[in-house]
Amino acid sequence: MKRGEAMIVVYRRTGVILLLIAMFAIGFLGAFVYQRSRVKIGEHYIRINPTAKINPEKQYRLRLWDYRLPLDSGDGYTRYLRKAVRDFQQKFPNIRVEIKFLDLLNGEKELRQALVRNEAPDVYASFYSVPDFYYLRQIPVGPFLTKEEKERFHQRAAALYSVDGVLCSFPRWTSVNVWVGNRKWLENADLNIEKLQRYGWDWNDLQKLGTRLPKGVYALAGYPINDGFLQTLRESGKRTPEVKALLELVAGMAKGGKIPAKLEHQPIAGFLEGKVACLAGIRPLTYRKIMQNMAGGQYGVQPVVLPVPRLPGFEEIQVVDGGAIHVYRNKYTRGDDHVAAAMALGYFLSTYQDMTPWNALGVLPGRRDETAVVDELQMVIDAALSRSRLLKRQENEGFELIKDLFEGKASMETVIEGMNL
Amino acid sequence: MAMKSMLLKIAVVGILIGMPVMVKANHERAAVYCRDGERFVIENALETSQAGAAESSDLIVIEVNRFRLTLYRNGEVFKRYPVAVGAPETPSPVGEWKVIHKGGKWGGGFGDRWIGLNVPWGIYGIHGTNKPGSIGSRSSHGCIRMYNRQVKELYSLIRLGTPVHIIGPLPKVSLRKEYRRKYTGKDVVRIQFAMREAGFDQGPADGRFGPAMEEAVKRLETYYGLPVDGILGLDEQYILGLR
Repeated sequence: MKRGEAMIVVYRRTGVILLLIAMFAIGFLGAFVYQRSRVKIGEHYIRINPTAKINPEKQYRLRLWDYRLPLDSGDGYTRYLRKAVRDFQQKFPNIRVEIKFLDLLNGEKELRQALVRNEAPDVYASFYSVPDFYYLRQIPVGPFLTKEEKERFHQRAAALYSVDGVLCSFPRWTSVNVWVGNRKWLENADLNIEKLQRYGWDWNDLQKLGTRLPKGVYALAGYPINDGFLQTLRESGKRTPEVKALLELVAGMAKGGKIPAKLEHQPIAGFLEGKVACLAGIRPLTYRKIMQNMAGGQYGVQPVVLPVPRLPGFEEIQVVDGGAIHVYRNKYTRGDDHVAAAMALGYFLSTYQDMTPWNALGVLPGRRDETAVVDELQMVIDAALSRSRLLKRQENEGFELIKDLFEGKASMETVIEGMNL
Repeated sequence: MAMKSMLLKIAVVGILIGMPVMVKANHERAAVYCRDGERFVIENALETSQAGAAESSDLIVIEVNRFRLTLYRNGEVFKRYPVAVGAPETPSPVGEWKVIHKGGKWGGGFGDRWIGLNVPWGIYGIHGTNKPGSIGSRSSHGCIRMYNRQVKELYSLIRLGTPVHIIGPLPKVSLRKEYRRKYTGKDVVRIQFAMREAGFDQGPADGRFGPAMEEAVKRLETYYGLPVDGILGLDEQYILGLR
């Protein structure tokens, strides 16, 4: 082979290698960019661009939907939100925010309809009921946050709003229902109230309380079923002995007249009139309101806040409610920078420094650095959240059957069979 | 005998033909007896359900403790009159009402004018008086008395449907265990004010548990996590601080 020909072969080889390297690099970069621009949630891939930035030269118009909460006897919350938005606009003067206050009764329906019509708001703040992730239009928020920003949220609360490890909504506040006990009856049953508040209690304690009550006073009334009871049974994994023991305990209390025949009939009145020792499963804000009304001192009962009791033999579960901020894409969305603006608003509202509404609702703010415990109620909630497994509230499948057991209308066997336990 | 029977037939036919006409006339010029015992002929009347018909921005505010009636127009004081209000045993109905009757033609010293309100538990209104000395006192059976010339002036200024707010201490009432659609009364007014104070406004406090109030009760139940049935029971009453 002549020298020239050999050189050509070398050049060709080098060219081929370079070409291969270039193709590999392009493919690698392409795959990298492609992966970055979408996120997998469940079975769905959602196209996102977390690198998009707000253009300071451009004017944005965002639509924000939140609920008209009747704080401060009316417009307290609307004033709060308007102030928060004004503060946001100080930071982002080129983003105009149009607020719409939703009715507590039909706000969720309005959102569902708007999602179908592709007219959902850019930012939606939920109240108690957190909608499921809407794959078609919702944008997960996690990929848009830095590590530091993510760490600003209460991590266990954030996990509730995550699917496959991706944070889908900004946690704004978290809450669990509480029980309210009558101090006199609890002390008569030798139950250490402070200990119960700090470390929790279980249904055996409740049964013990029931045995010490005078005739005509019920051990509990209210809404105990959906606060861990149902979800624990569903997740029991066919642990028949524990399930049987638990259902026997409830059936025994019902038979012994310690649970009223109408479990949910005016339980607050029953409690305040001294006919019920424990008011089960109420919202913290309802407890706050009762205490506020009791400040006049015209009632004979002294309420104490308690956590939801554990089911003996099972892991402690807390069914969690919350308020979260969701970001949606809609027919008015104009580019990835528009989404970035919506993300900025969502993050700002969920980490807003003023916590007044959350204190009034008796819930724990979603911001980790602000979850300061301000009173006994928040202390009990905080302790319950930190020692239990947290589950999002679910649909009430099997609710009626368990209610019948509580009210003495169904046997343990019927429940085991009916719920396929 | 035949003549008698013929006259009877004519009378029956006459009654049958005449009755609807008489009923119609009575409907158009119905007479009312107000709580003060006075009788007025109604010239214009609105069905209670139509009481929202006023288009003007007028608002009549009657302050029971100050014995005065103020007519606001476009949010500003337009006219102010002294009045007599209900005696302590027959208080004027505190609440947010509407003018549903305008009438008069009764004559005598009672001012010739009647402005009827949609109070659901009795016939209450604003009218003149033959006891001008009673103005500025608690002396009526619950109606609002005015000087005759002033009631004529007020009558000419307002329309049917004009809101009338009677402000004063709410009467002490005992509450039922349960309230639902179609209930009316002073106790409902008290609940309506309490709901408004708690941030659940249902519109005018008019003593009627209507659809708007039912919605407001449902809103309250949703907010506090109670079963949402639109019935205001003991739990809702405790939450509102009514018990």
